Amino acid sequence: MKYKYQLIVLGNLGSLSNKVIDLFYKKIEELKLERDYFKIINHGNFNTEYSGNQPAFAIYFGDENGSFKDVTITDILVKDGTLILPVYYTENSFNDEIPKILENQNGLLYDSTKDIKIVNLALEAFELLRSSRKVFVSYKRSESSSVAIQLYEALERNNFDVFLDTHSIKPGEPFQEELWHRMTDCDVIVLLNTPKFLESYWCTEEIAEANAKQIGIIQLVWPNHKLEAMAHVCLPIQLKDNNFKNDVFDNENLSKLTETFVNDLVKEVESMRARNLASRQDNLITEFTNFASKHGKKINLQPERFISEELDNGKRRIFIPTVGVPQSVNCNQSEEIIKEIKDYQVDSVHLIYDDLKIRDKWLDHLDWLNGYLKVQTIKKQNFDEWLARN
Amino acid sequence: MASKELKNIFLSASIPLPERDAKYYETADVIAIRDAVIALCTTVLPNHRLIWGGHPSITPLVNYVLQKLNMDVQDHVTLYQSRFFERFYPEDNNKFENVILTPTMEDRDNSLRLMRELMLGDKEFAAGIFIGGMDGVEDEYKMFRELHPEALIIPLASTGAAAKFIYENSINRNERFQNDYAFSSTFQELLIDKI
Repeated sequence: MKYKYQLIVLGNLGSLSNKVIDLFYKKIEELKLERDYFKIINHGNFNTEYSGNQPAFAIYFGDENGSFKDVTITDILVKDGTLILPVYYTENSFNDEIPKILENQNGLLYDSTKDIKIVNLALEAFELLRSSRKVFVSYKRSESSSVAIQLYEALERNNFDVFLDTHSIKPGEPFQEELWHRMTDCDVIVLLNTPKFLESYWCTEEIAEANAKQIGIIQLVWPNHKLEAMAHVCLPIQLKDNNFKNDVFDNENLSKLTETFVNDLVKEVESMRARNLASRQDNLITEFTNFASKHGKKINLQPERFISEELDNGKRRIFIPTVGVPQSVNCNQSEEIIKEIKDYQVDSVHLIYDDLKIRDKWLDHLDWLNGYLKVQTIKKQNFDEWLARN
Repeated sequence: MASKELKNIFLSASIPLPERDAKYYETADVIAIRDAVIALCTTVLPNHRLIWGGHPSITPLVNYVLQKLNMDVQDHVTLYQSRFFERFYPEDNNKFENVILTPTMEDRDNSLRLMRELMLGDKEFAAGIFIGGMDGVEDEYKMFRELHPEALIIPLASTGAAAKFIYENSINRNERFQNDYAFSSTFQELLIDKI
Protein backbone atom coordinates (compact mmCIF):
# COMPACT_ATOMS: atom_id res chain seq x y z
CA MET A 1 0.00 0.00 0.00
CA LYS A 2 1.38 3.34 -1.05
CA TYR A 3 -0.67 5.53 1.32
CA LYS A 4 -1.71 4.79 4.90
CA TYR A 5 -3.37 6.44 7.87
CA GLN A 6 -0.81 7.81 10.31
CA LEU A 7 -1.40 7.66 14.07
CA ILE A 8 1.34 9.69 15.72
CA VAL A 9 2.15 9.40 19.41
CA LEU A 10 4.39 12.02 20.97
CA GLY A 11 5.60 13.24 24.33
CA ASN A 12 5.69 11.02 27.38
CA LEU A 13 5.22 7.54 25.92
CA GLY A 14 4.76 4.35 27.92
CA SER A 15 1.96 2.28 29.35
CA LEU A 16 -0.75 4.85 28.62
CA SER A 17 0.20 5.40 24.99
CA ASN A 18 0.48 1.62 24.53
CA LYS A 19 -2.97 1.14 26.02
CA VAL A 20 -4.43 3.71 23.63
CA ILE A 21 -2.72 2.08 20.62
CA ASP A 22 -4.03 -1.35 21.65
CA LEU A 23 -7.55 -0.01 21.98
CA PHE A 24 -7.20 1.74 18.62
CA TYR A 25 -6.30 -1.54 16.92
CA LYS A 26 -9.13 -3.32 18.72
CA LYS A 27 -11.58 -0.81 17.26
CA ILE A 28 -9.96 -1.18 13.84
CA GLU A 29 -10.60 -4.89 14.05
CA GLU A 30 -14.22 -4.28 15.04
CA LEU A 31 -14.57 -2.08 11.99
CA LYS A 32 -13.26 -4.99 9.90
CA LEU A 33 -10.28 -2.98 8.72
CA GLU A 34 -6.77 -4.34 8.40
CA ARG A 35 -3.95 -3.28 10.71
CA ASP A 36 -1.79 -2.87 7.66
CA TYR A 37 -3.78 0.23 6.59
CA PHE A 38 -2.30 2.12 9.53
CA LYS A 39 1.11 3.08 10.75
CA ILE A 40 2.07 4.11 14.23
CA ILE A 41 4.62 6.89 14.22
CA ASN A 42 6.72 8.16 17.12
CA HIS A 43 10.02 10.04 17.43
CA GLY A 44 11.93 6.89 16.48
CA ASN A 45 10.51 6.54 12.99
CA PHE A 46 9.14 10.02 12.30
CA ASN A 47 11.87 11.05 9.86
CA THR A 48 11.60 7.92 7.76
CA GLU A 49 7.86 7.20 7.98
CA TYR A 50 5.89 10.42 8.29
CA SER A 51 4.57 12.02 5.13
CA GLY A 52 2.49 15.17 4.74
CA ASN A 53 0.37 13.68 1.96
CA GLN A 54 -1.36 11.09 4.12
CA PRO A 55 -3.98 11.58 6.83
CA ALA A 56 -2.53 12.01 10.30
CA PHE A 57 -3.78 12.27 13.85
CA ALA A 58 -1.34 13.04 16.65
CA ILE A 59 -1.70 12.52 20.37
CA TYR A 60 0.68 14.48 22.59
CA PHE A 61 0.98 12.79 25.99
CA GLY A 62 1.92 15.49 28.50
CA ASP A 63 4.51 15.28 31.21
CA GLU A 64 3.75 15.98 34.87
CA ASN A 65 7.31 17.15 35.42
CA GLY A 66 7.25 19.52 32.48
CA SER A 67 10.01 17.69 30.64
CA PHE A 68 8.76 18.07 27.09
CA LYS A 69 9.83 15.72 24.33
CA ASP A 70 9.25 15.89 20.57
CA VAL A 71 8.76 19.65 20.38
CA THR A 72 10.46 19.90 16.96
CA ILE A 73 8.19 17.19 15.55
CA THR A 74 5.16 18.92 17.05
CA ASP A 75 6.19 22.12 15.33
CA ILE A 76 6.37 20.37 11.94
CA LEU A 77 2.93 18.85 12.51
CA VAL A 78 1.38 22.18 13.48
CA LYS A 79 2.71 23.71 10.23
CA ASP A 80 1.33 20.79 8.23
CA GLY A 81 -2.14 21.33 9.65
CA THR A 82 -2.16 18.02 11.53
CA LEU A 83 -4.82 17.37 14.16
CA ILE A 84 -3.09 17.18 17.56
CA LEU A 85 -4.73 16.14 20.81
CA PRO A 86 -2.84 17.13 23.96
CA VAL A 87 -3.49 14.77 26.89
CA TYR A 88 -2.79 16.01 30.43
CA TYR A 89 -3.41 14.50 33.83
CA THR A 90 -4.05 17.07 36.54
CA GLU A 91 -6.92 19.51 36.62
CA ASN A 92 -5.86 23.09 35.87
CA SER A 93 -2.32 21.95 35.05
CA PHE A 94 -2.55 21.98 31.25
CA ASN A 95 0.14 24.63 30.98
CA ASP A 96 2.53 22.74 33.26
CA GLU A 97 2.10 19.41 31.52
CA ILE A 98 1.85 20.43 27.85
CA PRO A 99 4.51 22.35 25.85
CA LYS A 100 3.87 25.97 25.02
CA ILE A 101 3.56 25.33 21.30
CA LEU A 102 0.22 23.60 22.03
CA GLU A 103 -1.00 26.15 24.60
CA ASN A 104 -4.16 27.05 22.73
CA GLN A 105 -5.14 23.52 21.74
CA ASN A 106 -8.14 21.96 23.40
CA GLY A 107 -6.64 19.34 25.66
CA LEU A 108 -8.10 16.24 27.19
CA LEU A 109 -7.91 15.85 30.96
CA TYR A 110 -7.11 12.19 31.33
CA ASP A 111 -8.72 9.54 33.48
CA SER A 112 -9.13 5.88 32.58
CA THR A 113 -12.62 6.43 31.17
CA LYS A 114 -11.10 8.66 28.47
CA ASP A 115 -9.23 5.99 26.49
CA ILE A 116 -12.20 5.42 24.25
CA LYS A 117 -12.71 9.14 23.72
CA ILE A 118 -9.10 9.48 22.51
CA VAL A 119 -9.52 6.54 20.14
CA ASN A 120 -12.83 7.88 18.84
CA LEU A 121 -11.23 11.20 17.99
CA ALA A 122 -8.57 9.38 15.98
CA LEU A 123 -11.19 7.27 14.20
CA GLU A 124 -13.22 10.38 13.37
CA ALA A 125 -10.14 12.14 12.04
CA PHE A 126 -9.68 9.23 9.63
CA GLU A 127 -13.43 9.12 8.90
CA LEU A 128 -13.50 5.36 9.33
CA LEU A 129 -17.14 4.83 10.14
CA ARG A 130 -18.80 2.98 7.33
CA SER A 131 -21.22 5.76 6.45
CA SER A 132 -18.31 8.03 5.54
CA ARG A 133 -16.48 5.40 3.49
CA LYS A 134 -18.35 5.83 0.22
CA VAL A 135 -17.03 4.20 -2.91
CA PHE A 136 -18.61 4.16 -6.36
CA VAL A 137 -18.16 1.38 -8.87
CA SER A 138 -19.09 2.63 -12.31
CA TYR A 139 -19.39 0.24 -15.24
CA LYS A 140 -21.11 -0.49 -18.51
CA ARG A 141 -23.77 -3.10 -18.06
CA SER A 142 -23.26 -4.78 -21.41
CA GLU A 143 -19.52 -5.18 -20.77
CA SER A 144 -18.73 -5.84 -17.11
CA SER A 145 -21.77 -6.61 -14.92
CA SER A 146 -20.36 -9.68 -13.23
CA VAL A 147 -17.10 -7.97 -12.29
CA ALA A 148 -18.98 -4.94 -10.94
CA ILE A 149 -21.05 -7.17 -8.67
CA GLN A 150 -17.96 -9.05 -7.57
CA LEU A 151 -16.26 -5.76 -6.58
CA TYR A 152 -19.40 -4.51 -4.86
CA GLU A 153 -19.37 -7.55 -2.59
CA ALA A 154 -15.64 -7.43 -1.91
CA LEU A 155 -15.69 -3.74 -1.01
CA GLU A 156 -18.78 -4.17 1.20
CA ARG A 157 -16.98 -6.93 3.08
CA ASN A 158 -14.18 -4.46 3.72
CA ASN A 159 -16.50 -1.95 5.33
CA PHE A 160 -16.97 0.39 2.39
CA ASP A 161 -20.35 1.92 1.68
CA VAL A 162 -20.56 0.91 -1.97
CA PHE A 163 -22.73 2.33 -4.73
CA LEU A 164 -23.05 0.43 -7.96
CA ASP A 165 -23.54 2.87 -10.75
CA THR A 166 -25.41 1.04 -13.46
CA HIS A 167 -25.63 3.96 -15.76
CA SER A 168 -28.95 4.11 -17.43
CA ILE A 169 -28.47 7.36 -19.31
CA LYS A 170 -27.90 7.47 -23.02
CA PRO A 171 -25.02 9.20 -24.76
CA GLY A 172 -25.66 12.90 -25.13
CA GLU A 173 -28.03 13.14 -22.19
CA PRO A 174 -26.86 15.29 -19.29
CA PHE A 175 -25.05 13.47 -16.55
CA GLN A 176 -27.42 12.63 -13.75
CA GLU A 177 -27.68 15.43 -11.24
CA GLU A 178 -28.71 12.89 -8.64
CA LEU A 179 -25.56 10.89 -9.25
CA TRP A 180 -23.38 13.93 -8.56
CA HIS A 181 -25.36 14.56 -5.42
CA ARG A 182 -24.60 11.07 -4.19
CA MET A 183 -20.97 11.38 -5.18
CA THR A 184 -20.31 14.64 -3.33
CA ASP A 185 -19.03 12.93 -0.21
CA CYS A 186 -17.45 9.97 -1.95
CA ASP A 187 -13.70 9.42 -1.76
CA VAL A 188 -13.04 6.93 -4.51
CA ILE A 189 -14.60 5.93 -7.82
CA VAL A 190 -13.59 2.68 -9.45
CA LEU A 191 -14.20 2.87 -13.19
CA LEU A 192 -14.39 -0.42 -15.06
CA ASN A 193 -12.87 0.90 -18.24
CA THR A 194 -14.03 -1.59 -20.85
CA PRO A 195 -13.64 -0.67 -24.54
CA LYS A 196 -16.94 1.25 -24.89
CA PHE A 197 -17.11 2.57 -21.34
CA LEU A 198 -15.74 6.09 -21.66
CA GLU A 199 -17.14 6.86 -25.05
CA SER A 200 -20.64 5.95 -23.92
CA TYR A 201 -20.67 7.34 -20.46
CA TRP A 202 -17.97 9.06 -18.50
CA CYS A 203 -16.69 11.66 -20.88
CA THR A 204 -14.07 14.33 -20.46
CA GLU A 205 -16.26 16.70 -18.45
CA GLU A 206 -17.27 14.10 -15.92
CA ILE A 207 -13.69 12.97 -15.36
CA ALA A 208 -12.63 16.61 -14.91
CA GLU A 209 -15.51 17.31 -12.55
CA ALA A 210 -14.77 14.25 -10.41
CA ASN A 211 -11.13 15.37 -10.23
CA ALA A 212 -12.04 18.94 -9.36
CA LYS A 213 -14.39 17.64 -6.67
CA GLN A 214 -11.42 15.75 -5.27
CA ILE A 215 -12.73 12.26 -5.78
CA GLY A 216 -9.94 9.76 -6.32
CA ILE A 217 -10.31 7.73 -9.52
CA ILE A 218 -9.06 4.20 -9.98
CA GLN A 219 -9.41 2.80 -13.47
CA LEU A 220 -9.37 -0.89 -14.23
CA VAL A 221 -8.42 -0.90 -17.89
CA TRP A 222 -9.60 -4.04 -19.65
CA PRO A 223 -7.05 -6.30 -21.41
CA ASN A 224 -8.45 -5.44 -24.83
CA HIS A 225 -8.36 -1.72 -24.15
CA LYS A 226 -5.93 1.14 -23.47
CA LEU A 227 -6.32 4.10 -21.14
CA GLU A 228 -7.59 7.20 -22.98
CA ALA A 229 -5.21 10.18 -22.85
CA MET A 230 -7.91 12.51 -21.57
CA ALA A 231 -8.45 10.22 -18.59
CA HIS A 232 -4.87 10.07 -17.30
CA VAL A 233 -5.67 11.84 -14.02
CA CYS A 234 -6.26 8.62 -12.11
CA LEU A 235 -4.58 5.52 -10.78
CA PRO A 236 -4.62 3.27 -13.85
CA ILE A 237 -4.43 -0.50 -13.48
CA GLN A 238 -3.94 -2.25 -16.80
CA LEU A 239 -5.59 -5.66 -16.54
CA LYS A 240 -4.12 -8.77 -18.12
CA ASP A 241 -5.98 -11.93 -19.20
CA ASN A 242 -4.65 -13.80 -16.19
CA ASN A 243 -6.17 -11.32 -13.73
CA PHE A 244 -9.45 -13.04 -14.67
CA LYS A 245 -10.60 -16.48 -13.65
CA ASN A 246 -9.90 -18.85 -16.55
CA ASP A 247 -8.65 -15.82 -18.51
CA VAL A 248 -12.22 -14.93 -19.45
CA PHE A 249 -12.42 -11.15 -19.53
CA ASP A 250 -15.04 -10.46 -22.16
CA ASN A 251 -18.19 -12.12 -20.88
CA GLU A 252 -20.32 -9.49 -19.14
CA ASN A 253 -22.16 -12.10 -17.08
CA LEU A 254 -19.47 -14.66 -16.35
CA SER A 255 -16.13 -12.86 -16.18
CA LYS A 256 -14.69 -12.67 -12.67
CA LEU A 257 -11.41 -11.32 -11.40
CA THR A 258 -9.14 -13.65 -9.43
CA GLU A 259 -9.30 -13.53 -5.62
CA THR A 260 -5.70 -12.35 -5.39
CA PHE A 261 -6.36 -9.46 -7.73
CA VAL A 262 -9.52 -8.43 -5.87
CA ASN A 263 -7.70 -8.50 -2.52
CA ASP A 264 -4.95 -6.29 -3.90
CA LEU A 265 -7.51 -3.96 -5.42
CA VAL A 266 -9.29 -3.51 -2.07
CA LYS A 267 -5.94 -2.36 -0.65
CA GLU A 268 -5.48 0.08 -3.54
CA VAL A 269 -8.94 1.51 -2.88
CA GLU A 270 -8.05 1.99 0.79
CA SER A 271 -4.73 3.58 -0.14
CA MET A 272 -6.42 5.94 -2.60
CA ARG A 273 -9.01 6.79 0.03
CA ALA A 274 -6.32 7.65 2.59
CA ARG A 275 -4.46 9.85 0.09
CA ASN A 276 -7.61 11.57 -0.99
CA LEU A 277 -8.81 12.20 2.56
CA ALA A 278 -5.52 13.98 3.28
CA SER A 279 -5.98 15.99 0.09
CA ARG A 280 -9.47 17.13 1.11
CA GLN A 281 -8.25 18.18 4.53
CA ASP A 282 -5.25 20.06 3.10
CA ASN A 283 -7.48 21.71 0.56
CA LEU A 284 -9.55 23.41 3.20
CA ILE A 285 -7.92 23.29 6.63
CA THR A 286 -4.24 23.69 5.73
CA GLU A 287 -5.09 26.32 3.12
CA PHE A 288 -6.98 28.31 5.73
CA THR A 289 -4.28 27.98 8.41
CA ASN A 290 -1.57 28.91 5.85
CA PHE A 291 -3.42 32.06 4.82
CA ALA A 292 -4.09 32.85 8.48
CA SER A 293 -0.37 32.60 9.34
CA LYS A 294 0.43 34.82 6.38
CA HIS A 295 -1.79 37.47 7.96
CA GLY A 296 -0.28 36.96 11.42
CA LYS A 297 -3.36 35.37 12.98
CA LYS A 298 -3.12 33.30 16.15
CA ILE A 299 -4.74 30.18 14.81
CA ASN A 300 -5.15 26.70 16.25
CA LEU A 301 -6.42 23.60 14.57
CA GLN A 302 -8.35 21.76 17.25
CA PRO A 303 -8.33 17.95 17.47
CA GLU A 304 -12.03 17.87 16.64
CA ARG A 305 -11.25 19.42 13.27
CA PHE A 306 -12.31 22.98 13.68
CA ILE A 307 -10.12 26.05 13.84
CA SER A 308 -10.04 28.63 16.60
CA GLU A 309 -8.45 32.04 16.55
CA GLU A 310 -7.32 33.98 19.60
CA LEU A 311 -8.34 37.61 19.23
CA ASP A 312 -6.62 40.50 20.99
CA ASN A 313 -9.73 41.23 23.05
CA GLY A 314 -9.54 37.78 24.68
CA LYS A 315 -12.35 36.38 22.57
CA ARG A 316 -12.17 33.51 20.11
CA ARG A 317 -13.38 33.15 16.57
CA ILE A 318 -14.36 29.69 15.36
CA PHE A 319 -14.01 28.38 11.81
CA ILE A 320 -15.69 25.11 10.88
CA PRO A 321 -14.45 23.42 7.69
CA THR A 322 -17.24 21.87 5.68
CA VAL A 323 -16.33 19.12 3.25
CA GLY A 324 -18.92 17.88 0.79
CA VAL A 325 -22.41 18.59 2.01
CA PRO A 326 -22.01 21.71 4.16
CA GLN A 327 -24.13 20.93 7.21
CA SER A 328 -22.31 17.73 8.13
CA VAL A 329 -20.65 18.37 11.46
CA ASN A 330 -19.56 15.19 13.20
CA CYS A 331 -20.51 14.37 16.76
CA ASN A 332 -17.26 15.01 18.65
CA GLN A 333 -16.98 18.18 16.67
CA SER A 334 -20.41 19.56 17.56
CA GLU A 335 -20.01 18.54 21.21
CA GLU A 336 -16.71 20.38 21.40
CA ILE A 337 -17.98 23.43 19.54
CA ILE A 338 -20.88 23.79 21.99
CA LYS A 339 -18.43 23.45 24.88
CA GLU A 340 -16.17 26.01 23.26
CA ILE A 341 -19.02 28.47 22.96
CA LYS A 342 -19.86 27.96 26.65
CA ASP A 343 -16.31 28.04 28.00
CA TYR A 344 -14.82 30.82 25.94
CA GLN A 345 -16.04 34.16 24.86
CA VAL A 346 -16.84 33.35 21.28
CA ASP A 347 -16.77 36.34 18.99
CA SER A 348 -18.21 34.67 15.91
CA VAL A 349 -18.64 31.35 14.12
CA HIS A 350 -17.82 30.85 10.44
CA LEU A 351 -18.24 27.97 8.03
CA ILE A 352 -15.38 27.64 5.56
CA TYR A 353 -15.83 25.75 2.31
CA ASP A 354 -14.46 25.31 -1.19
CA ASP A 355 -16.90 26.52 -3.80
CA LEU A 356 -15.28 24.35 -6.50
CA LYS A 357 -16.36 21.26 -4.58
CA ILE A 358 -19.93 22.13 -3.84
CA ARG A 359 -22.91 21.94 -6.14
CA ASP A 360 -24.59 25.18 -7.13
CA LYS A 361 -27.73 24.32 -5.18
CA TRP A 362 -25.72 24.29 -1.97
CA LEU A 363 -23.90 27.48 -2.86
CA ASP A 364 -27.25 29.28 -3.13
CA HIS A 365 -28.27 27.78 0.19
CA LEU A 366 -25.06 29.04 1.83
CA ASP A 367 -25.53 32.53 0.44
CA TRP A 368 -29.02 32.46 1.84
CA LEU A 369 -27.75 31.29 5.24
CA ASN A 370 -25.28 34.17 5.26
CA GLY A 371 -28.12 36.64 5.24
CA TYR A 372 -30.07 35.08 8.10
CA LEU A 373 -27.77 33.33 10.50
CA LYS A 374 -25.11 34.50 12.85
CA VAL A 375 -22.92 31.81 11.35
CA GLN A 376 -21.24 33.36 8.33
CA THR A 377 -19.72 31.45 5.45
CA ILE A 378 -16.32 32.11 3.82
CA LYS A 379 -15.36 30.67 0.43
CA LYS A 380 -11.89 29.29 -0.10
CA GLN A 381 -11.47 31.73 -2.98
CA ASN A 382 -11.86 34.58 -0.47
CA PHE A 383 -9.71 33.28 2.42
CA ASP A 384 -6.79 35.59 1.66
CA GLU A 385 -8.91 38.67 1.23
CA TRP A 386 -11.20 37.89 4.20
CA LEU A 387 -8.27 37.30 6.56
CA ALA A 388 -6.66 40.54 5.39
CA ARG A 389 -9.85 42.48 6.15
CA ASN A 390 -11.01 40.82 9.38
CA MET B 1 -9.87 48.05 -10.11
CA ALA B 2 -7.47 49.96 -12.31
CA SER B 3 -6.41 48.00 -15.35
CA LYS B 4 -3.32 46.11 -14.39
CA GLU B 5 -0.89 44.29 -16.53
CA LEU B 6 -1.81 40.73 -17.39
CA LYS B 7 1.31 38.68 -16.80
CA ASN B 8 2.08 35.45 -18.62
CA ILE B 9 2.48 32.34 -16.53
CA PHE B 10 3.64 29.12 -18.11
CA LEU B 11 2.27 25.78 -16.91
CA SER B 12 4.07 22.57 -17.70
CA ALA B 13 2.33 19.46 -16.35
CA SER B 14 1.36 15.91 -17.16
CA ILE B 15 0.56 12.62 -15.45
CA PRO B 16 3.33 9.99 -15.52
CA LEU B 17 2.18 6.61 -16.76
CA PRO B 18 3.33 3.22 -15.45
CA GLU B 19 4.24 1.86 -18.88
CA ARG B 20 6.58 4.76 -19.61
CA ASP B 21 9.87 5.59 -17.86
CA ALA B 22 9.61 4.17 -14.31
CA LYS B 23 11.78 6.91 -12.81
CA TYR B 24 8.89 9.34 -13.21
CA TYR B 25 6.04 7.04 -12.21
CA GLU B 26 7.73 5.84 -9.01
CA THR B 27 7.63 9.21 -7.28
CA ALA B 28 4.51 10.64 -8.93
CA ASP B 29 1.65 11.65 -6.66
CA VAL B 30 -1.30 11.90 -9.01
CA ILE B 31 -3.61 13.36 -6.36
CA ALA B 32 -1.07 16.12 -5.70
CA ILE B 33 -0.72 16.79 -9.46
CA ARG B 34 -4.50 17.06 -9.75
CA ASP B 35 -4.79 19.39 -6.76
CA ALA B 36 -1.84 21.55 -7.82
CA VAL B 37 -3.16 22.11 -11.35
CA ILE B 38 -6.59 23.06 -10.02
CA ALA B 39 -5.13 25.36 -7.35
CA LEU B 40 -2.87 27.02 -9.93
CA CYS B 41 -5.80 27.72 -12.25
CA THR B 42 -7.89 29.04 -9.39
CA THR B 43 -5.20 31.47 -8.24
CA VAL B 44 -3.85 32.53 -11.64
CA LEU B 45 -6.89 32.84 -13.92
CA PRO B 46 -8.64 35.74 -12.17
CA ASN B 47 -5.55 37.98 -12.45
CA HIS B 48 -3.06 36.69 -14.99
CA ARG B 49 -2.71 34.67 -18.16
CA LEU B 50 -2.03 30.95 -18.12
CA ILE B 51 -0.22 29.50 -21.13
CA TRP B 52 0.28 25.78 -21.66
CA GLY B 53 0.82 23.15 -24.33
CA GLY B 54 -2.46 21.37 -23.79
CA HIS B 55 -1.97 17.86 -22.57
CA PRO B 56 -5.33 16.10 -23.08
CA SER B 57 -5.68 15.22 -19.39
CA ILE B 58 -4.71 18.65 -18.04
CA THR B 59 -6.76 20.84 -20.40
CA PRO B 60 -10.17 19.63 -19.09
CA LEU B 61 -9.15 20.62 -15.55
CA VAL B 62 -8.29 24.15 -16.70
CA ASN B 63 -11.60 24.31 -18.49
CA TYR B 64 -13.53 23.11 -15.46
CA VAL B 65 -12.04 25.81 -13.24
CA LEU B 66 -12.60 28.44 -15.92
CA GLN B 67 -16.32 27.53 -16.10
CA LYS B 68 -16.67 27.47 -12.31
CA LEU B 69 -15.01 30.85 -11.84
CA ASN B 70 -17.88 32.38 -13.73
CA MET B 71 -15.70 35.27 -14.91
CA ASP B 72 -15.20 36.59 -18.39
CA VAL B 73 -11.52 35.78 -18.59
CA GLN B 74 -11.13 33.97 -21.93
CA ASP B 75 -8.17 36.24 -22.67
CA HIS B 76 -6.52 34.82 -19.53
CA VAL B 77 -5.88 31.46 -21.19
CA THR B 78 -3.79 30.57 -24.19
CA LEU B 79 -3.60 26.97 -25.24
CA TYR B 80 -0.90 25.80 -27.63
CA GLN B 81 -1.39 22.60 -29.55
CA SER B 82 0.62 20.97 -32.28
CA ARG B 83 -1.37 19.88 -35.30
CA PHE B 84 0.61 16.65 -35.11
CA PHE B 85 -1.79 15.54 -32.34
CA GLU B 86 -4.89 16.87 -34.08
CA ARG B 87 -6.83 13.64 -33.90
CA PHE B 88 -6.20 13.34 -30.15
CA TYR B 89 -7.39 16.84 -29.20
CA PRO B 90 -9.78 16.75 -26.28
CA GLU B 91 -13.16 18.30 -26.97
CA ASP B 92 -12.35 20.93 -24.35
CA ASN B 93 -10.02 22.60 -26.83
CA ASN B 94 -13.11 24.08 -28.49
CA LYS B 95 -14.10 25.78 -25.29
CA PHE B 96 -11.17 28.16 -25.32
CA GLU B 97 -11.09 31.22 -27.53
CA ASN B 98 -7.32 31.38 -27.68
CA VAL B 99 -6.07 28.12 -29.13
CA ILE B 100 -2.91 28.39 -31.20
CA LEU B 101 -2.35 25.48 -33.53
CA THR B 102 1.26 25.01 -34.57
CA PRO B 103 2.36 23.27 -37.79
CA THR B 104 3.17 19.58 -38.09
CA MET B 105 6.81 18.71 -38.74
CA GLU B 106 8.29 15.44 -40.01
CA ASP B 107 7.81 13.62 -36.69
CA ARG B 108 6.42 13.90 -33.15
CA ASP B 109 9.58 15.24 -31.52
CA ASN B 110 10.13 18.00 -34.04
CA SER B 111 6.44 18.94 -34.05
CA LEU B 112 6.57 19.26 -30.27
CA ARG B 113 9.80 21.26 -30.37
CA LEU B 114 8.30 23.74 -32.82
CA MET B 115 5.15 24.05 -30.68
CA ARG B 116 7.30 24.77 -27.62
CA GLU B 117 9.47 27.29 -29.46
CA LEU B 118 6.41 29.18 -30.64
CA MET B 119 4.77 28.97 -27.22
CA LEU B 120 7.78 30.16 -25.25
CA GLY B 121 9.69 32.18 -27.79
CA ASP B 122 7.98 35.40 -28.67
CA LYS B 123 6.67 36.73 -25.37
CA GLU B 124 7.62 37.66 -21.82
CA PHE B 125 6.90 35.27 -18.96
CA ALA B 126 6.72 36.20 -15.29
CA ALA B 127 6.90 32.60 -14.09
CA GLY B 128 7.04 28.93 -15.06
CA ILE B 129 5.29 26.27 -12.96
CA PHE B 130 6.35 22.62 -13.24
CA ILE B 131 4.01 19.92 -11.95
CA GLY B 132 4.48 16.13 -12.10
CA GLY B 133 5.31 15.20 -15.66
CA MET B 134 7.81 13.13 -17.63
CA ASP B 135 10.55 13.96 -20.15
CA GLY B 136 8.30 16.51 -21.88
CA VAL B 137 8.11 18.58 -18.71
CA GLU B 138 11.90 18.37 -18.32
CA ASP B 139 12.34 19.50 -21.95
CA GLU B 140 9.99 22.42 -21.40
CA TYR B 141 11.89 23.38 -18.25
CA LYS B 142 15.22 23.48 -20.11
CA MET B 143 13.83 25.56 -22.93
CA PHE B 144 12.00 27.90 -20.54
CA ARG B 145 15.13 28.49 -18.45
CA GLU B 146 17.15 29.32 -21.54
CA LEU B 147 14.62 31.70 -23.01
CA HIS B 148 13.48 33.31 -19.74
CA PRO B 149 16.38 33.24 -17.29
CA GLU B 150 14.81 35.99 -15.18
CA ALA B 151 11.41 34.36 -14.77
CA LEU B 152 10.34 32.88 -11.43
CA ILE B 153 10.59 29.07 -11.47
CA ILE B 154 8.30 26.95 -9.32
CA PRO B 155 9.19 23.24 -9.45
CA LEU B 156 6.49 21.56 -7.36
CA ALA B 157 8.53 18.69 -5.95
CA SER B 158 5.63 17.45 -3.81
CA THR B 159 3.90 16.28 -7.00
CA GLY B 160 6.89 14.00 -7.69
CA ALA B 161 8.10 12.83 -11.11
CA ALA B 162 9.84 15.36 -13.41
CA ALA B 163 9.00 18.28 -11.09
CA LYS B 164 10.97 16.55 -8.34
CA PHE B 165 14.06 16.18 -10.55
CA ILE B 166 13.76 19.82 -11.59
CA TYR B 167 13.45 20.89 -7.93
CA GLU B 168 16.56 18.95 -6.96
CA ASN B 169 18.67 20.94 -9.44
CA SER B 170 16.84 24.22 -9.15
CA ILE B 171 17.89 27.52 -7.65
CA ASN B 172 14.42 28.06 -6.20
CA ARG B 173 14.32 25.32 -3.57
CA ASN B 174 11.74 26.68 -1.20
CA GLU B 175 10.82 23.83 1.16
CA ARG B 176 7.14 24.49 0.69
CA PHE B 177 7.41 23.23 -2.89
CA GLN B 178 8.40 19.89 -1.41
CA ASN B 179 6.31 19.61 1.76
CA ASP B 180 3.23 21.76 1.51
CA TYR B 181 0.15 20.21 -0.05
CA ALA B 182 -2.01 23.30 0.44
CA PHE B 183 -1.31 24.57 -3.06
CA SER B 184 -3.56 27.63 -3.26
CA SER B 185 -1.87 29.44 -0.39
CA THR B 186 1.53 28.36 -1.70
CA PHE B 187 0.79 29.81 -5.14
CA GLN B 188 -0.73 32.95 -3.66
CA GLU B 189 2.32 33.68 -1.49
CA LEU B 190 5.15 32.39 -3.63
CA LEU B 191 3.81 33.20 -7.09
CA ILE B 192 1.05 35.81 -7.24
CA ASP B 193 2.40 38.00 -4.40
CA LYS B 194 5.89 37.86 -5.95
CA ILE B 195 5.30 38.79 -9.58
